[in-house]
Amino acid sequence: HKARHNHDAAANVTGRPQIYYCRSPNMEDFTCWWHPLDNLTAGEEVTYVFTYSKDKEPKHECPDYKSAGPNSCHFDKRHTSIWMLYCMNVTAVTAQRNYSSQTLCLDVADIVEMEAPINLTFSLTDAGGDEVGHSALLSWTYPVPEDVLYGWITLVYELQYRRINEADNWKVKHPLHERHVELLGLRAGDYMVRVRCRSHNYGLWSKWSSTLLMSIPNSPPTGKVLVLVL
Amino acid sequence: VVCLVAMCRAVPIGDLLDRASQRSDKMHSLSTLLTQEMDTHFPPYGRMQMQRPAECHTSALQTPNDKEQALQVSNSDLLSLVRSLLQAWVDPLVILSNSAITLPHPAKSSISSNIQELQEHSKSLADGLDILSGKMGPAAQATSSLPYTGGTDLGQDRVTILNKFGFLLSCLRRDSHKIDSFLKVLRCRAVKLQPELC
Repeated sequence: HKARHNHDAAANVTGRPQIYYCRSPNMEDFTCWWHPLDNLTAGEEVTYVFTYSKDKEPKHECPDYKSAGPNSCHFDKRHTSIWMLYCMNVTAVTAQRNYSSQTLCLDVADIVEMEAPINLTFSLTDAGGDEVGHSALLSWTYPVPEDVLYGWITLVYELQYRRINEADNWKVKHPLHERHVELLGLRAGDYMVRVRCRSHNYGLWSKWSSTLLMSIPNSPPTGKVLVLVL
Repeated sequence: VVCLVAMCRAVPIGDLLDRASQRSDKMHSLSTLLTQEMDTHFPPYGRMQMQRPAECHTSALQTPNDKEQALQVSNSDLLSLVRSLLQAWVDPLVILSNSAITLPHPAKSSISSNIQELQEHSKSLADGLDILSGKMGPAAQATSSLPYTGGTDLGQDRVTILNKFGFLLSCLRRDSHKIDSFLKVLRCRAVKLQPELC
C-alpha cells in the first residue's frame, strides 16, 4: 500500500488535515492515514491528535501513532472491533490555533483490502485430441497467508488476460476460488495476464499483481508433431 | 443506502448477525474437529463410561429441539439462549484450555491450539452479541446462568481425564451447534432474503 499512500498524499488543499485512507488487511486490525497541514510557515511546530469513538462510546485517542509510519494511526487486534462503527478525526495543534479534519466514520468490514497476489506463473499443457491451440495453466500465491487464517476472509480471485496488441480487450475469469486456472484453446501469440483478489464477503479489490507476459508458440506441441510425421 | 446520519452510526443488525454467524460457524467446525481428534485415540474401554448428553451442565436450559421449534421462538428469546450458552462455556473452556497442555493424548498440541482458537472466537462472538442484544431491547438482554460445577480438575488417571475431557467436548459441540443454528435463524429473519431457508 506504500505506492497508494504516496500517490494520495500528493495534494492537500483544504487547509486542514484530512484522513484520506484506511485499510484493514484481515479484518482483525486496521490503519488510517491522514494528510498533514501544507500551509505551515517555516519552522512552525505542529502536533497531530487523532481521536476516535466506537458507536456511541466516549472518545479515545489513537492507540498507536508509530507502527504504520508518519501521519498514521494503527489499531491493533485489541483495539479493533468489527461489531461497531468507528468515527474519527484528527486535529493539527499549532501554537496559533487548532485545525480539525472532517469526521470520518467507517465499518472495518468496508475497508478490508487484500494484498495483490504474487508469483504469477504459467505452464503450457498439451491441448490434446482435436482441440485447436494450446492450454495454459496459470498459478499464483497469496503473499500473506496468515491474514486469512483466522476465518474472516475467504479469498476470491479474478484473472484477466488479453492479447498483447488488443489493448482493452481483457478476457475475465471470475470468480476463482483456487489459486490456479487453466485457459483453454489459446491461439499462438503474446498475452498479458494479471490477477487480483478480494475477500468474498467484505471490502475492496486488491491491486493487480505484476503483469505476466505469456508467449504461446506457433508450433503444435510435440505430441502432434509426432502424429504429423507418422 | 439512505439513512439518517444518527442512525448510520452503527453497523446494521443484518451485518452484525452475518458476522456473528460466521463466528459461530467457525466455532462449530472447530468443536467438531476437536471431538474427531479425541475420538481417534479414545480408549475403547473408556467409552462405556462416557456420560450422557443430559448430564451436560447446559442441559437445564430449555432450548428448541429442532428447526420447527426454533422457528416458533422469538428473536429476543433466541438471542438470549445463544448468549446464555456462550456465557456457560467461558469457565469450562478455561478448564479445557488448561488441561489440554498436559492431556494424555498424542494430539494434545493440536487439541490445545484448537481450543485456544475456539476461545478467541467465543470471546469475539460474545462481544458482538452484547452489542446486538443492546439494539434488540430488554428481552434480548436477559440471560440464564448455567454454572459449571464439575470442578477445575479433570481427574487423576488417564482414563478419567480423557473421559471427562471428551465428555466436555461433546457437550461443547452440541451447544456450538445450537448457537450456530439459532444465529442462522436470526440472520435469516433479518435478511428475509430466502425465507424458505428459515
